[in-house]
Amino acid sequence: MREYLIALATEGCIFSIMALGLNVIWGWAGDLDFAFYGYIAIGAYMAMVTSIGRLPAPAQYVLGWHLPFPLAALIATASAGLLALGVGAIALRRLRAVYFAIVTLSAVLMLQTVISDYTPLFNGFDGLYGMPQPFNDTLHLSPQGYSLFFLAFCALCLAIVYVLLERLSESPFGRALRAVREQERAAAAFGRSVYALKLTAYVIGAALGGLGGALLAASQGAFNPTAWPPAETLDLYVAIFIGGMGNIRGVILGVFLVLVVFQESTRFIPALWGNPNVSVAAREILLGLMILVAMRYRIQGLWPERARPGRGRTAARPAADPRPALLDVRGLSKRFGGVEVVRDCSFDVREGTVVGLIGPNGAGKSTAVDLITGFATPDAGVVRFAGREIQGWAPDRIARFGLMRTFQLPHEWPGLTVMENMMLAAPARGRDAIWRPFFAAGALRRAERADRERAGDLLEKFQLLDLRDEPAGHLSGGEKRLLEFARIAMAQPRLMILDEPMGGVNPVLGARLADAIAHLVALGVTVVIVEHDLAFLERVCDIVLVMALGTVIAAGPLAALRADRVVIDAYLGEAPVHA
Amino acid sequence: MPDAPALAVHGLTAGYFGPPIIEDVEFHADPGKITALVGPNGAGKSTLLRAVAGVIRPDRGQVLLGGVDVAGAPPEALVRMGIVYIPQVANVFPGLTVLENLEMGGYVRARGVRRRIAEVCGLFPALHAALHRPAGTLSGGERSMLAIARGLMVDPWVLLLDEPITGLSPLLQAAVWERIEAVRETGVAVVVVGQNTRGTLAHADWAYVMALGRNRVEGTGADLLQNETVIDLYVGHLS
Amino acid sequence: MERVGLGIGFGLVTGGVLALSAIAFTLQYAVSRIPNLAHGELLTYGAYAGYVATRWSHSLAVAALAAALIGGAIGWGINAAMIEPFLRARVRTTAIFIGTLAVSLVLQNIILLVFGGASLAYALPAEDSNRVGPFLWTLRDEQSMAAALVVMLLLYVLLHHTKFGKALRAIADNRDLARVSGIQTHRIIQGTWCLAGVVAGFAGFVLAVTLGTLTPSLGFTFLLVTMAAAVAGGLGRPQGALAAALLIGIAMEVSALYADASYKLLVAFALLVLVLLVRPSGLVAGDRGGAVG
Repeated sequence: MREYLIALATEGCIFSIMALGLNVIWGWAGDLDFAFYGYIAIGAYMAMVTSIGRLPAPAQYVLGWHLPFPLAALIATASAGLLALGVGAIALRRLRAVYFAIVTLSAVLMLQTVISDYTPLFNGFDGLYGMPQPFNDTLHLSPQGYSLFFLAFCALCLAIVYVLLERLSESPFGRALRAVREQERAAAAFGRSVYALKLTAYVIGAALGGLGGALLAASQGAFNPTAWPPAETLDLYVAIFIGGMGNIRGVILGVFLVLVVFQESTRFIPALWGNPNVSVAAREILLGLMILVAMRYRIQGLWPERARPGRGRTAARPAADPRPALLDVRGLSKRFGGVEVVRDCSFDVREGTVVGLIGPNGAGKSTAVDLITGFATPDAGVVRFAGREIQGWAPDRIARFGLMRTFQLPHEWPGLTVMENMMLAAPARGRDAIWRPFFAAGALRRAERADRERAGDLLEKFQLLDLRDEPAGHLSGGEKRLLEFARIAMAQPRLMILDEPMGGVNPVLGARLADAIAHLVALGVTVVIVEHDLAFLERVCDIVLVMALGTVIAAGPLAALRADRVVIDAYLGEAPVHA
Repeated sequence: MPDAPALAVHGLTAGYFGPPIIEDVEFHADPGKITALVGPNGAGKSTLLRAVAGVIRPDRGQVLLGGVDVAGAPPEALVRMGIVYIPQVANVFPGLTVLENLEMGGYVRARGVRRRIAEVCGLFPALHAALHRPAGTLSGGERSMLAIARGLMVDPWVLLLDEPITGLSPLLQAAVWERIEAVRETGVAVVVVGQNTRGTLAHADWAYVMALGRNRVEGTGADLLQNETVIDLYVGHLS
Repeated sequence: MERVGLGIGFGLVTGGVLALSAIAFTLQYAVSRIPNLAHGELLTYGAYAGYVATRWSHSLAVAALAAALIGGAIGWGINAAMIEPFLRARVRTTAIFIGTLAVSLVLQNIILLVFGGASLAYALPAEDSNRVGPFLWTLRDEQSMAAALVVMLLLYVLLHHTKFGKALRAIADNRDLARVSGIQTHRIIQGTWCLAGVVAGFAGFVLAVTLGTLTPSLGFTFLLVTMAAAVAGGLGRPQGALAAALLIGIAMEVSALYADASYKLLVAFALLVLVLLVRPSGLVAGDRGGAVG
């Protein structure tokens, strides 16, 4: 019995490491990866071929070294990561979930075919055996003693992985990753490269899978293509699902619940009808039903991703000095399906000014904003910002360069707290790098504390401070809009474009938003506001641009424009000639 | 003695998720007349049409079709009852031919589809030549006409047109307006939401000006074209 | 060169069955926008139903019918019991996608429970191969290709000359517009899943007869090539699925004559990745927004 429990616990530790790796890819980054089994398998095989030495014929395989386990495990982990780099680079190019899933599924099947059929690689279908027990050639323990030692070793590995992932999760990288999962466009709008973040997460997750595979091989002593069919990856998904996606403790709980408790308990189902497959089949059926029920009723899992606490107060404010045209747009044009939505649009914005952009529906204002900020590519025209030509740049690059925007509908990161939303908006300056939480922890802590104080101050100004630990998705519509402003204020761009910030809000909320925008303006940032609420624009704007039919038709102080025939015609449209 | 309104909307309040976009809206549409809904951005004109058409469920209010309240009914049912909605974009099936689009328009008809197609093509002769072309290959103007023609296949009481001429050249706009007037002559109550306010008012028998989700002004098209309040709603203070 | 001719001949046989499976998959995707990972089980159940019917009635025609009916019932069931209720409960699409995998798990293991894991064999008489031009086909090969062809023609007639088929294509184009045209989308979608099941069930039966054996994982392994063909052809486009299926079938069989037969799957997926890299929206062009037709 004791041996059984020790074996169970060891299995649990190993599977937990694997599940944690998958959690980085699925729980944190949000990618449905079917190739994960492949990384486990590669890890197992590489660990074996670097530690079993030479086996007698007819076994054939590559390498055949005889390295101590830690080194073998390291090679296994690195191999898995390298493979993931290749697969991920292709699979993440088109960021649609379905294609990613299908490409990764293809990749793992190709890998399985190659491993099974190309014998010189890993001995094909027969697999490899004879893996020496890690450390036992120096320890010489009895079998019972060793099993206890190995459990302790696996538990230690799990503990290390746990600590590292916890650190990473709390770091700017972890936060940025979750932001990408929650609301990709906003992440790009705040300077994050979605592709780079997802690929990094993919490699890290795969590497952990490889480590798990190495430990699995060490615990079984052998590994072959039938040892762990790809369907077992589904068990890992269920563990994460049920335990709580994203939450590290939840994942470990899920593993022990699903893989260990559930699996083992169904082993006791008697063989009915003399059919030896019954327990296996029954287990799989129950597993499948469990997934369906979990999905339908309890999708966050037992231990949902918890919010991280926010702290901090006090102030810090930047200044701006007026200079010539910060943003210069010339001849911007864009066609959508035969209709010229933006047509030879030109204007400039001087630093330190507040410019309004108005015009009737279909004037092309939102498209112009998309074109300037990189969310669409212009057919023609030049966009010059701070002296550089930025047309055609990716939106995250433009954002990092200092030109940012908000969206018509609030694009908050719903699963992250208000404070985390603010922390993410802080100028990144390479802080997302994964090595920082480990090798520059002190500096990172100080920088984060400073950010938290500034965020607290801003949240107070926007009357959101008491909501700082609430998941942003729980905020009311008006509060979400205020958060949009607080966030972009936090990001300190040189120029910000507010896209219909007052769109469809009632007058009471409108007054509050107007104050919030006035506050932004007071910070000295250059602001372009796309709006319809002319009363409000009259209050804050220096000049107003009028767009109609894709181009700028008038510019000047609003009071003058109101009486301008051209502007009125643009809004009311033309009467038909024969009226 | 005026005809009873084909469509009468009372106290309609509706939105997507969250606060309502339109509140307590009232309007009616008479058969054989063009009723226009105009107003500045965010007025809720499209939302109103969608709520009447059953695409979104109203929070409260009545939609009376020939005196019967149909508010909240799903679009499939409303089509059978005689309310047809023509959306502004994505208003034809691009993968189907013109003929098949019309057939789908007449989906709920038990019989007489062929005859009706011939009648509708009489109203829109341009479509007759294009019957076997995929709708995705039609030009903008042809597409607008097909969208309206599709709606006419069920012989509706009420036709809801969401910005039928937006995005078309002035020549095409005139052509489409001409067809809309021809539809009016067949006795249908035509409700048009227009972006080009002056142009829409010029063709309207009766019009409602909305702003911020509520009724503001109503009157004949000709009267409203001269109305100062209307101009103020667009370029002045909104209260 | 003669080898290539042989390969193309075999490829047409494989491609025929693959085309049926891929078209069924893509039709169901066109109306529901969720890839069904339990699609393979439609083939498996069709195969097993056909097998049982053969043993019982000794008639391949009856077996084919049984396979189609069972497939249709299961297709209908998956949609009615899982997809539609989950969609109504607003479960996320990716979550439902995983759910179909769970359904696949359950269905596969039911077969395992009932029939056991060992492969069952069709006791059919051995046949001679005939030379037809550059191709080498048995009578059964020719029958399966003919059957596939007939089904595809029937499908074409269904999609382009019946009210149901046109409504299906309309929903695939634009579900909201279909609703405001008065089309009862719920019923048509149910019908489509049933149709996909019928075609896939039949395809599974033909596949099992061609291979000569059945295992519980028959459909699942075929699922992967099916998805490769459907995705490469552009999800939601039956002509694309057909073209891609024939291409992949031929590529697989030609490669099997030159390299080890177990690399066939590899070839299929290498083709898929290639197509996705070069033409991300699939083989069949046309960005008119029209999905089916």
